[in-house]
Amino acid sequence: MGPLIPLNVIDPSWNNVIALIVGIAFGFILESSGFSSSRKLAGVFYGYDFVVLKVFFTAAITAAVGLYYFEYLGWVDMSFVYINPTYVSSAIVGGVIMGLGFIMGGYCPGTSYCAAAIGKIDAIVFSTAMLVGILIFSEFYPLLESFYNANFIGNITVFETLGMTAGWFLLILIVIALGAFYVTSIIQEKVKKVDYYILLK
Amino acid sequence: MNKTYIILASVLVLLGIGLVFLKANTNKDELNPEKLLTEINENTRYISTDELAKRIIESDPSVQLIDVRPAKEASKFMLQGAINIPLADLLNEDSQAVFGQDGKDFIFYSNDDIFANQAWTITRRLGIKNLHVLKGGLNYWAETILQPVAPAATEPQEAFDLYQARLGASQFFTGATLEVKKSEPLEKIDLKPKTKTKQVEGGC
Amino acid sequence: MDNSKKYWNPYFGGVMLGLLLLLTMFITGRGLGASGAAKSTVVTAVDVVAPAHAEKSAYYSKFLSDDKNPMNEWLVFEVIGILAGALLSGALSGRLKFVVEHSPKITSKTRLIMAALGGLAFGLGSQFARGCTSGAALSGMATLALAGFITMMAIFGTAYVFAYFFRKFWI
Repeated sequence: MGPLIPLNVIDPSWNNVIALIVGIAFGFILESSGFSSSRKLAGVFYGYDFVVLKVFFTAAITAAVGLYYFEYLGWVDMSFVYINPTYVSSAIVGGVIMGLGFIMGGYCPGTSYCAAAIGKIDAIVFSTAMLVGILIFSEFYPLLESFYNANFIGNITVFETLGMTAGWFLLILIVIALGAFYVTSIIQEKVKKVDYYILLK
Repeated sequence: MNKTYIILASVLVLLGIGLVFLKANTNKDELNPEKLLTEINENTRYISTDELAKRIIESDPSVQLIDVRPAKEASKFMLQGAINIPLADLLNEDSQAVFGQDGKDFIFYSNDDIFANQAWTITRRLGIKNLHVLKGGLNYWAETILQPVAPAATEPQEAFDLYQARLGASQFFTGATLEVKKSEPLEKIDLKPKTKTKQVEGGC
Repeated sequence: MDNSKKYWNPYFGGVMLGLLLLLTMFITGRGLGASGAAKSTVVTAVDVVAPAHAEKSAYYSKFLSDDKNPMNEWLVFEVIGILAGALLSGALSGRLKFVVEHSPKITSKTRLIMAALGGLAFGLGSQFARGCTSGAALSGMATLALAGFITMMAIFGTAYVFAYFFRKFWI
C-alpha cells in the first residue's frame, strides 16, 4: 500500500504540493516547540533546557515505532522507504563539523529557517552562512571526493549492524529515551534557570 | 512525578514490547488459506480458449502467457507470446521478476489444466494478482481453436457462430504458429524486478 | 515572568513531529529535510553565475540536469513551507520581531559572528554527512538507518565536548 508516491498510489505530480504542506506543518511544529530560539536550543548542552532532546527523541521514536507497526500491518513496504546510505568516515566527520556548528551557531538548518521566519537576525545570518559552507564544500569537492565516498557499507540499518531485530532495538531505544527524559528532568531542576525570553514584549 | 508522563511512558514501552513479538509474523503478503480456498472454488480464474484466441488475435498487450510445462516440451511448441517457466522454476528470482510487471494478466497453461492450476495456487498464495488459467490447456486449445469440429445441423445458431469464429482463429494460428516456432521465444523481454526500482533519493 | 507556557509541551511537540515524519514517510518514502534546499540554492546560484563551471564541477553536475530546474525539488518546496509554517506559528503566539538573540554577556556583533561561523560549519558538515539534523539524524533515526545514529551521536557528542569552551556565548 505505502509509501504512496514511490508505489504510484498518488501521482508524483502531487509531490511539490505535499512538500509544501509537510513543510508548513514541520515549521509550525518546530516553532511552537520553541525551536526558533537559539538560546533555548543551546540549553540542552548546558542543562537549563532539554527541549531539543525531548522533542528530537520523542519524534524519532514515535516515527520509528509507527513505521514498523505500519510494516507489520502491510501498510508500508520497507524496501521502498529510503534508508540513508552509511559512509562511515564522512558521516562521523560531517557530524563532528555540524556539532561544532551547533555549539557556535545555536541552530541547525531546519531551526534556523524557523527562527529566520519570525525575524531572528542571527538565524538569517546563520542560514546565509550555511550557503557559503555548502559552496566551499562544492568547490573543494574534487579534493574531498575520495574521502566523501570512503568506507561505504551500504544502506543498512542499525539493528542489522548490531545483529538484533528491529523490535528489540526499538524497545531498548524506548527504554534509553525514557531514562534520558527522567534524568534530564532532574538535571533541569537543579541547574540555574537562564532567562532567554528577554526579547519579547 | 507527573502521572500523565508515567501513563504515556508505559504506553510507549508496551508498544515497544508489542513490536518485539509481532515481528515473529513475517508472512504478511501471503494470502490466508480460507481466502485461497474460496478463490479456488470460485473458478473465476479460468479463461476459455475462445477468449484467449480473441485476445491474442487482437494483440492485447496485457496478455502475458506463461507455459508451465517442462522446458523440453515447451521448446517444441509454445503459444504466441508465451514465456516458459517450468513449474519447478516457479519460485526462481527470474520468474518472480516476470510477476513484477505491472498491468499484465498472467495466464498459465499446460497440456491440460493441472500443472497450470498448481502454478496458479502457488503464485496466488504469494499474493500475486491478475492470475488466470487456460481452461483445458493446450489439448483443448488444439481441439477448439486449431481443429474446430463443425457442429451438427441440429445445433442452435450460437454453435455455428462459435464455429465460424474458431475457423477464423484456426486460420490465424495455423498460419501464424509456424512463424512463432521459428522466432525466438520472447524470454528476453526487459523485465524489471519489483524491488527497489523506484526508491527515492533522500537527503537533507 | 515565565513565558514558556507559550511553547508547546516538548513531548507533545515531539509526538506531533514524529507523526508528521511518519506521515511523510508513508506518503513519500523518505523523511524530512532542510539543508537540501540550501544545496539546491547554491547549485542554482552557481549555475546562473558560472554555468560552464557548474557543468564541469563533479559536485554541482550531480544535481543539474537539462530538463529540470534544480530549484524544482521536493526539499525546496518543503523549506518554503517551513518558513510559512514558522511564520504562522510565530504570528499566532506573538513572537514576530526583528531581533538578535544573544546572551547578555556578549554583544550582538559577537553573536552574529558566531552565528555565521556556525552556519558555515553546518553547511560544510551537512554535505559530508549527506544531510543535517533533520535529514540525516532525525529521519535517519526514524528509519533506524545506521547513518542516522552515527551522525546524531557525532553532532551531539561534539557539541557536548565543546560546550565548555563556548559557554560564555550562551549562559
